[in-house]
This record gives sequence, structure tokens and C-alpha cells, in this order.
Amino acid sequence: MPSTIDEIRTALEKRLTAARDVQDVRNAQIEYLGKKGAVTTLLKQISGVAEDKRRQFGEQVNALKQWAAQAVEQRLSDLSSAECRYDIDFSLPGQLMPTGKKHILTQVEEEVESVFLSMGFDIEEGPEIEQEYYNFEALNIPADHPARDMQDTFYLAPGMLLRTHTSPIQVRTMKREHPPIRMIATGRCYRRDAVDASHTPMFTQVEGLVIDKGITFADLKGVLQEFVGGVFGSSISVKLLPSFFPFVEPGAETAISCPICGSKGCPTCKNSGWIEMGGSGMVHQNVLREVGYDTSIYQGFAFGWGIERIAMIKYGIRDIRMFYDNDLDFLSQF
Amino acid sequence: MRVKLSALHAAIDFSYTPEELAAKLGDVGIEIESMERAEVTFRDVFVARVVHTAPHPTYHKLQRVDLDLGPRGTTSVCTAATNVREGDIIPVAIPGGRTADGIDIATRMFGPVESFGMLCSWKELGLDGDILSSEEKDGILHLGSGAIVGSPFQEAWPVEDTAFEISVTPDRGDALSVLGLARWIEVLKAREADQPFDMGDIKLPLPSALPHARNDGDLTVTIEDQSLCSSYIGLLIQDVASGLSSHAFRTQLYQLCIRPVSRIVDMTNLCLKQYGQPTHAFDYDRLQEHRIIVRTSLPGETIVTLDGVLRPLEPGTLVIADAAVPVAVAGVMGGLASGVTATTARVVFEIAHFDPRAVARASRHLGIKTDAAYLYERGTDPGLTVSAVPGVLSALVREQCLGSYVSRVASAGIPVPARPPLSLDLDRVNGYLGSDLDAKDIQRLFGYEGIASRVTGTTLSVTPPSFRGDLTSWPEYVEEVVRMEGYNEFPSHAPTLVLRRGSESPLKTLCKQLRQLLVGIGLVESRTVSFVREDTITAMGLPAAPLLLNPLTVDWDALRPTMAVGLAGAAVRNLSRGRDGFASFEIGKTFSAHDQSFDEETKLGVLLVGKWQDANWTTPAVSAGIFVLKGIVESVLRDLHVPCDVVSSNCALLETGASALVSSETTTLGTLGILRHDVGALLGLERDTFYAELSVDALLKNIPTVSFKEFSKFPSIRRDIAVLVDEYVAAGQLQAIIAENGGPLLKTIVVFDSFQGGSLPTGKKSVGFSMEFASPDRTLLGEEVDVLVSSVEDALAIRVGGILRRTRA
Ligand SMILES: [Zn+2]
Repeated sequence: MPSTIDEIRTALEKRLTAARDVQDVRNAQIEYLGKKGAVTTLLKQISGVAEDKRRQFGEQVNALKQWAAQAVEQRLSDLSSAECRYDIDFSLPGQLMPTGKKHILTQVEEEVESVFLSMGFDIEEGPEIEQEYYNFEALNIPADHPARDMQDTFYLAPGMLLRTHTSPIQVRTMKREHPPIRMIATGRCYRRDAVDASHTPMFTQVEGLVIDKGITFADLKGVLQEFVGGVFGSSISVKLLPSFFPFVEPGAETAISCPICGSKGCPTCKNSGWIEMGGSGMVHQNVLREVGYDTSIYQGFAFGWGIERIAMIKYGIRDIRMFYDNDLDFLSQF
Repeated sequence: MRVKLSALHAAIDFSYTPEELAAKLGDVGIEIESMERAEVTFRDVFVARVVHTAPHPTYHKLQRVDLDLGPRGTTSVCTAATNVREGDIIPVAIPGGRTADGIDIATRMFGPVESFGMLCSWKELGLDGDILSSEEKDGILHLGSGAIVGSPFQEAWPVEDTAFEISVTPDRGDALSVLGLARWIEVLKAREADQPFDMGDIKLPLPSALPHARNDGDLTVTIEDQSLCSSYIGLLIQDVASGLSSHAFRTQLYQLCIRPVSRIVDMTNLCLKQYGQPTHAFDYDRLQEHRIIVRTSLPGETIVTLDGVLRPLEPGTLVIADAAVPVAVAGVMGGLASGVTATTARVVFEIAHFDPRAVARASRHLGIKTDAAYLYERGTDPGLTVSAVPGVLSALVREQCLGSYVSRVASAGIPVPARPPLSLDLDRVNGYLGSDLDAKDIQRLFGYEGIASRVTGTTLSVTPPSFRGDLTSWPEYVEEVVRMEGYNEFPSHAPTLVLRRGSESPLKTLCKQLRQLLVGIGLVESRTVSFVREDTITAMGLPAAPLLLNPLTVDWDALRPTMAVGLAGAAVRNLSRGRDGFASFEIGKTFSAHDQSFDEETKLGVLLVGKWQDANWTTPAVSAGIFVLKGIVESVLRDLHVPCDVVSSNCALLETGASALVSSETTTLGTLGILRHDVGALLGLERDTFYAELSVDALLKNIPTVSFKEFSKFPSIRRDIAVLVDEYVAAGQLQAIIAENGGPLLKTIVVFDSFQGGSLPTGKKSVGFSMEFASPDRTLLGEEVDVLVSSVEDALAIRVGGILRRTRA
């Protein structure tokens, strides 16, 4: 702290010039003119000065005090008149705008759709109440085939059911259009599964189908890699495992490298570094024949993944039931 | 399927750890769902023979048991168990030992009697209770004959092991047995060693000839339709003796995860689990004329199955019959009358191959699920096992002293003809896979799996082994190429596709737009289940919803005809958690039923309850209300350029007087209003709930194409008027009069005010309108606008007796 008259004057001048707001000036005021301020301290010293110099010292100190008070006032008025017309309390909250949200499943669905739209895939739709023929027979799942046990089905009438997968949309599209076919379909599917953390009797699927001349199994992997890159990021890779789905041959289970642990192993990937996401494969000859395609010319692949599963892996959601509880604490997080 | 590592080791030599085995089998398509390692967690438990039992002198619930521990001498314990008799072979934990459930064993006094240990039940030994018989789980565990007295229990019982839970896809029926898994392990070994598959590595007995028979019994087998049953062998065993399975057999069952039942059933279960070949045992003396006929059922035929249920047979069901009646549903379940009992003296074992579809049909039709049917449906081996299992069974009969000898082997359809080879084109394979393999590569890959192939130029002639019933067409062989090359080693390639834009349906686009608009307004999107309770729908006064024939629960027995139920559920959930408002929408399918057909309609539901906008230090809270709801609907439709009318009308679900129809020109789009209080209460909402439901399908038909319209570049002039009218006059009517009389320069009319009471006369209300006038080609003069306003005022006065209250410039 400066202690001589000259020092104090110089220091306060600097201090006031540097002050950027009112509070700063007020602080300076306290430091110099307050009860324990530098100027006040000098004032208290007057009585202790030798008689011969007391008068002169007193005058000088009082002049300093006057000057300081005036300088502070001047700086305060400068600040409020010039740049600082406002003194807003920004700790008060802003007026928040509406907080609407798309459902997380919609967000994921739209993300998936946009990846495929960008690759020139059409988005097809189909009825949720489906004929047994489109859901099973046309997909090479005849009655009395054990594959029907894989998909426990809700029936509405003999021959009418709630679709167990989005695959009937494949059949409807192929029956309506000629190759080349490049489509995906998203939508609700229903299976008679009891409710638990990983099952609901209703879920959302995304289904893909590419049919043309010379479409190969290697292409399937290539397209899935693009899809996964688009949804999970390009650092995530795809792995195929042998599996069985009646409407494809060869059939494959698709796994992705675990985005949660970076393939190091965690409870979600059961320490394997890989997470199974859904089925895929080359479209079965019986399916192509059923829709009237010439199997010596056209071939292709199909895949079906769960939207809930994608969302669960992407955001680390552990309980599938949360998607349908519609708790705002849940929905507002995404 | 559950099986233990030791059972696999007994079938083939391999050096994989359980984890490696699981990973390797997974890579070829056999999923190990779970693995459970069982360890010896007890200490000092030995096999003992009960020498003598005597009641405890003072405690009447105890008995004293003297035990022989073989080379370890003798001892005696007190026990409360009641299933201990002289001669029994049982486990005992001696002092200093410890049980699997953590009890330390010490010498203990029971009154005057000293007890040197504790007899053990399965729990004290930490055994797998799921695969023990009820007798074994009841009291002290009994070991069968052949357990070595004095040996440590872990040497007498295969405690230390790893149990696998295996799940296979419907085409992998060949892997549903120890033999099948051993074959796949052989495939793994062959691939690693680059050697062809060798059945010789399988250690299980696989006799190739039918067992020798004395031919002193009378049994005939006839197959009526060989397409439903390719082969059938009946094995007649005489002088069947009852009794427990030997200790060695018992522990083998434990390794195979088979729960013991009786000697005969245990044998049939072993064939099923070890070889994947279902077998069945008939009481020979209950087969009329000692005949077995494989045929389809005749109209009116019934059978009482082993479970005691009388079952009518659908004509054409594949059955096993004797000379008179069906005695078994082929491959599904035997009949009660011909089944073996404690008094059975002569047994016929059935070893057969049935058509998978025939078994599946019968199993589904009768609603019977058995392990045998499960296997048959997935395809059993018509070759090797049908011929090997009779030999295995007859050896078992001998070992287990079940009967004196094989009396007769009666068969039909043996030997099974080999399947014809299939021709596979190399270009086709490569063209399908996007690969570049040559014929030799493919031959080598097939060799690992035991698929025989002959190469001629670029064509392979392939013959599958009899256990690979899944290989019937060329793509299935292509799959084997991928399987052996490795699914994951296969190349990835981005397809070359024609440049084309992807498109979506206008409905999908509209749904996206709607979501975007509603979210922008501040609503949260819900997704609720499509299921509702029929009773609820009826109580809401809605027409019948489509019903599920097989609902999961009564709460979800119908499909939603409205979004209201789901949205109300979401509202209740959130309000019950202390929120003071919920504003949400859902877009999705709703369903309706008409006679035999069902309809689907895409609908938008909007539900508001409680607070619409929270209070802020700048603005007070806004409660949800009918005009907030109407505003939402109008805003959305405005942004879609759809003109709309909202007209008071009695609509389903809505309170009378607070219910309106939303339409666009001649199309009804939907309804909005206050949810009926009884409906709200039914759905758990006690507060006023504002609900709108629009048909997105109908809306789609009314979306106009947007094109540019010339607009005025000159300043407009605004005039406000307030009219005092009778309270029953609708604001809309006043607005219509203003529009009609304002002339072509009147651009917009906005209601800025509407109120009753206060200083106004009773029965009257005041409605304020703000009118904007503009011309496309010039600046209007105040005077000409005044003239227009006057004509509006006159019209209001004449048409509805409107009194002008005040005018603002
Ligand atoms: Zn992980």
C-alpha cells in the first residue's frame, strides 16, 4: 500500500483509470477513503506530526482527501454516463422458450432414415395388421416350421396377425416393383414376449433390402458398415456371425464393436467387445421366387435391426420399458 | 440345451478352455448362452456304507447310524434323516470337514451319544438340483451300486465341471446332442489343422451294424408311407428287470444333464441327449398282435397320451399303431395304455426317423411340446444314428442288466438310401459372395465339415453327410463356404449402385413436419403402446376395437382406436410424479374393426393438462386451456397452409359444449375439446384435460401446393372496433360479417378482446376486432378506410344488432 501523499495520489489515479465498472470504483473508494483507507490513515497521522510541520502536512493531506473524493465521483459518473448505461443482473434466468422434444425413438428413426436416404434408399411402409401370408409364408416360414416359434405372434383372426417384423414390407414392395430395389422400412412390430428390461411386446424395427443383378454378400457387409458409421460414428466396425433366419441364406447375425467400452469389454457387451444388433443375409431363393423374380438374374440382401436396441446402445439406456413410459425426466434427456 | 464339459470330453478329445470353446462354437453358429463352473466347495466328504441303524436312546427324532468307510475304517453319526437304511451308500462329512454351504463339521454330542460327522444331502454337496431326481433331493443323497466305499465324494461324483447352456437356431438340429457338438468340435479341429473331417475322432460308440438278436420273439414293423417315416427299428427286450440305474450310469446322466426317472426312461433319454436320436419304449405285451404299424390316423381315432389326457387325433396325424389302435403320436408322445410300468416284463424300443413337418404338425395341433418333438422338428439324422442307436441301446441293456437279451430286431426302411449329390457352380458361389475362391478352396472348406465333393472344371458335385439335413440347395452350401472361411474374415465391399435419390411417402413427410411443428410449439412427443383394454374402450363409449385372440394380459387385449388412452397414461405417470402439467402429442396408427376386416389410420393426438407454461419472474404461469389447444391446432394447420374451421359439435370423448369438430373445407380432420370427465376419471385424470385428435391421413389429402401471391408494398391502415352483442352471438359470426362487408382491401381480422360482465349489461358481451386494410397498388387514404369501416359497422348493427362501443385509430 502506498503511504506517502504522492504515492497515494499516483496509485489512486492509476487505479481509477483501470476500473471498468462501478463496483471496482467503489472498492477503490473503500481502500483509500474508507475507515482503514490509505488517505484516512494519513489524516489520523496529522496530530502526531511535529509542531513545525503539522500545519503544512495537514493542508496537504486534506487537499489529497478532497482530490480523491472528487476523482472517485468523477470516475463513477464517467462510467455510468458513457459506456455503462445499464446495470443488468445477469444471474436472473432468461425467459425460456418452449421445450418440446421429439421422442428418442423418433430421433433415432429419423437419423437411420436419413443415412439410408442419403444412400438412395427409398423408405417404404406397410400395415401393422398383416396377413399371415406376408408375415410368414411369403418369407419362407411355412406353418409347422420351428422358425415360427422364434416369433411368438399375436393373432386378430385366423390368418390375420400383428406383424412380427417389418419384413412383410419387403414382400409387398417386391411384389409391387421390379428390381432394382433399394429400400428400408421402419415401423412398429409385435411379438408375444412378456415384459422385462429387454423385452416389450411391441418394438420398432428398421428393415433393409437391396435387390439387383450382382448384389453380393460382401456388399451386405459394406452397406451395414456405412449404416453403422452413419449412426454410431465411423470408428465403429461391423462383424457378421453365422445365424439363421428363414428368409435369408446365408444368414448372419450382425454385431458392432462395442461403442460403450471401445471394444475393451464391459457388461453391455458381456466382455466380448461386440454387441449383437440384428439379423441379415442374402435373400432366400424361395422368397425371390415367391414374388416372381428370376433368381438366375436377381439376387440381394436384407437386414433387420431394432430401433430400441440402437438407441439403447447409443445412449446407454438399460431398460427398454423406459421408451414407452414417456417419463418427461427420460424424454427430456435426449 | 444343457450339457457339461465332461460329457463333451467323453465324446471327443480337445484342449480348448470353456471360454475358447464358447467363442469357437459361436463363430460357427452355435451360441453358448451361458457357462457355469461348478467347483468342489466341500471338504472331507466320503462315500460310506450304512452298516447298522438304531434309534437314538433319548431323542426320538434322531437315529444313530454306523458307517463303513472302507479303508478309512468305521464311524458313527446321529442323523434326523429318515431315508437311511442298512446297506445304503451315502456321503458323509467327517469332523474337520466342511459342507458346500459352509458348515464346519466337528464331533458333537447328542445327549449321551457322540456323532462323528454329518450325512449329506445334495445341498451340503452343492450339486445341481435341476438334474437330480425327486428322490435324490429328498433327504440324504443315495449313491447307486458301484460307488466305491471310502473314496472322496468328488471322485465318486462328477462335481467339478462346467455346464453350458447351448442355444441353436432352427436349422442347427444337428448340434442338439453331445454327438452333434462333438462333430462341430471336430470341424473346428479339422479347420485349425487344415485336415478333412474325421468321424474316427469321435469317441462315442457308433456301432454300424444292428445288434445281434436271438430271434425268439414275435414282432413285425410296417411303414405305410415312407415319405413320413423313412426308417423304423423295433428292439424287443425280454425278461426286463426293474431296479435303479448303476452308479456309473447315474453319474453319466449327471454329466449329460439328464434328470433320472427310471432305468428304461433313463436309457431313452441318454440316446436323445447323447446321439440326438429320440427313442420310445413300449410295453410289448400291450401291443396287439405284437405289431407296429407306422401310419396316419383315421377319422375318429383318439389316444390317451402318457400324460393321461384323452386326445382326439386330427385325421392324417402320423401315429404308431398296433394291430388295433394308435399307441403313440409319432415323435411326439407315447400312449398311456402301451407305456412301460413297474410290472413290464418285455419292452420294445422304438428307433425311427420321422418327417420333421409331420411331427411339427402333430405337436402343434395337439399342443404337446416334448424334447423328442423338438428334435424331430429340427431334423434328426436318418442315417448313422438310426442304425447306431439300436446297438448303443442293446449295449446299455446288457450293462445295466435291464433284460436278459435282445430278442428281436424288427425294422422297415433300413438301410436308408444316400442322398443324391448336388451340383454347385463355382461362378455362382463367387458371384453370390463377392469372393474369388477356386474350386479347390471350396473343396477344402467343405472337407472340414465332412461334405464330400468332386471337382469337374468349375463345377463341384457335393454330397452332404446324413446328419446335415439342412443342406438341400446351393445357397445352403454357399453358407457353409462362408462359415468355414469365417463370417468375419469375409471381405466387405460397397456395392456399385445406380445413382438414384431416396424417397419417402408424402404421409411420412407430413408426419415429420407435424412433429417438427408441434415440438416447436413446446409439446413433447410420446410413444405409447398400441394395446388397450377392451373394457376401457367400451366404457369410453367408442365402437369396438380390434381384439387380440391371444392377448398377453387382459389390460392389453385390444388395439387402440384412439391416442387418448396412451397419452392419458403418460399424463397420469408424469402428474403422479409431482409435475404440475403435461403437454404431449403422439403420431401413429390407430385401429378399427369392421366385420371380418381391420382398418388402420394414422392419427395425431394432442393432450394438455395442468400447467402449459411455467411461471417465470417475468411472466406468470399459463394454464392449459381450450384456447391453448385450439391455438396449437390452428397454428399447425396454418403452417401447413391448411384452411380450417372449428365448429361446436358433440364429438366422442368430449364434454358437451366443450367439443368441436375440426374440418378443412368439406373434409373432417378431427375433434378438439375438453375430455369427458367420466373418461378422464376412467383413465386416471381427475383434472380438466384438453384433447385433440386429427386424422393425419385426412389431413394429407388437404395439404395445398404453395405458390407465391403478390403482396402489398404500400403501408396498411389499422382500425379497431368493439361491438356489444347478445352473448349467444358467436365471434365467428361477427367475423364473417366483417369479412363480407370490409371489401377486397380488408386484409386481416384479428379478435383482440372478448369479455362479459363488469360494466356490461347482463346478457351482453363485447368483442373487439382489429382490421387491417391494404391495397396492392397504392397508399390508402384514411377517409376511404373510414367508409369501409362504416359499412362494416352498419352491417353488424343490422345483422346482429351490434352496438359500437369504441373505436381506436
Ligand atoms: Zn462393451
